[in-house]
Amino acid sequence: MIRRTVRKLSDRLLVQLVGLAPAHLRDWAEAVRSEAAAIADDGEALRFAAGAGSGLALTFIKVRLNDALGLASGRTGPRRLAALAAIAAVMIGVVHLHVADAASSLILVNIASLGVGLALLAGAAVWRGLPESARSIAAMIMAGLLVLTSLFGVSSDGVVRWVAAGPLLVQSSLILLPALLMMFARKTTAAGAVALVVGAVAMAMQPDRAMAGAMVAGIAMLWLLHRNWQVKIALAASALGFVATMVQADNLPPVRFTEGVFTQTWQVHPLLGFAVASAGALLLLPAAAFGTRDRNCARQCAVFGATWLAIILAAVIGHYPTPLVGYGGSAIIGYLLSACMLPPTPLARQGLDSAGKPSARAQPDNLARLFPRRTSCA
Amino acid sequence: MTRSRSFSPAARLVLAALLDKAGSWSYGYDLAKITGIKSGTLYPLLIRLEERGLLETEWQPPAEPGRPPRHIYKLTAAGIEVARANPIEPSGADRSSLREVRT
Repeated sequence: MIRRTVRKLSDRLLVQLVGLAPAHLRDWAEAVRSEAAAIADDGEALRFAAGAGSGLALTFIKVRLNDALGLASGRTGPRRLAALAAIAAVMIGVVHLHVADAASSLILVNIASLGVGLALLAGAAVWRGLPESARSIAAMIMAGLLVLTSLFGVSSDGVVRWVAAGPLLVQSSLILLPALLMMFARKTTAAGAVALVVGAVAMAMQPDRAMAGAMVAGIAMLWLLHRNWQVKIALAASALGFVATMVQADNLPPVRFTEGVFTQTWQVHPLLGFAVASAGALLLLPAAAFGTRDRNCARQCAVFGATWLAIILAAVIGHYPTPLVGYGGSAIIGYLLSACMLPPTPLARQGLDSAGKPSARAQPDNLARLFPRRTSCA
Repeated sequence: MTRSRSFSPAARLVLAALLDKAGSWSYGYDLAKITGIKSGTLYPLLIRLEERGLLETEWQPPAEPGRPPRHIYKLTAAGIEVARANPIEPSGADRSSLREVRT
């Protein structure tokens, strides 16, 4: 009797599964329903329906998400996905700030920073059109700004990481360093390596363990995918810089609404904690979606993911800014500035490789769209 | 056709089970029993095979009135070729699981 009731219930759930199915996969949901109905034993039918139903539900959700984000159609590339992730994370952050009774000015700063970051992203095409020499000069200027911040920036308890911008304090490393790493990931030039060596020195001077660690993570990921002497030098310098930050005192007290957000929100409400943790995970979406899907943009996506993962982990374990979800415009602008260096669309879909030449591995088939095959990034 | 690395052990098992049917139709539940693959893995796998043009699907009219039609599967010509080129791995649990059901 109970089993029959449960069986009826499972059939109702399978009817819902048919509703969840994208039109071209609806037959499969109907197939499971009819197959379960054909099994004589109630318990066996139930197990079969539950297993197949959950497997298909995950497939349908994946397909629907791909469609919604435009991943399957090629409408959404890593850069657009990063923009969507940033918008979602900042909005979740706004909810967090509101729930935590933060001043409305903090919320406004985050929203304004999102606007600035999105404007930078909209102008990314200009950046990509610059000649290599202009990019090298830009990288050196960015590295120089990091050193200038360490020398003449705003100090707090012996730590010098900020530049005063009117009433706001901007953490220059959070804005410039991920972008520097992404520029290097795109093309490992000698100028890029020198800029990163200078950047590593700046991080050691500040000292900033979080950004020094992010630097090591990003370059180590690059080393895994693309080895040459430029990457080797940058990796060695960043590792030395990180060691230097570890041996120096870094005892800044946490700043409310900016640091410790990942852990504090769980204490406010589990739902808020989950939302904030999800927002952190969203920031890694471009790397997760394209880091292994498309060989040609894997390098930039993987370095992007490794860098921001390290920044997120630093915010979880130490007193470092919580990117995008906590109060702070630097991380928002930094995230979107580094996203400027991501390819606008998967290059393989355009039939091009990273140098813009026709690619041997062009249009993925329907299967690859549905279940992207994991390929080596090397 | 060359041996592809893209097929998982589960996919190879399903291909082998369908190949054993030598052109006749199979039910999803039977495939799950024969291969020992859980239904939650089997159906996404079948979708994948169909997307790749390796699997043909059809609705079989009900054998008795009042029963729903059943979805049935068999390999296409390309599927047969791929199944032959991608047999079950020579060692490992997957081969034994298929053999267990056959006896």
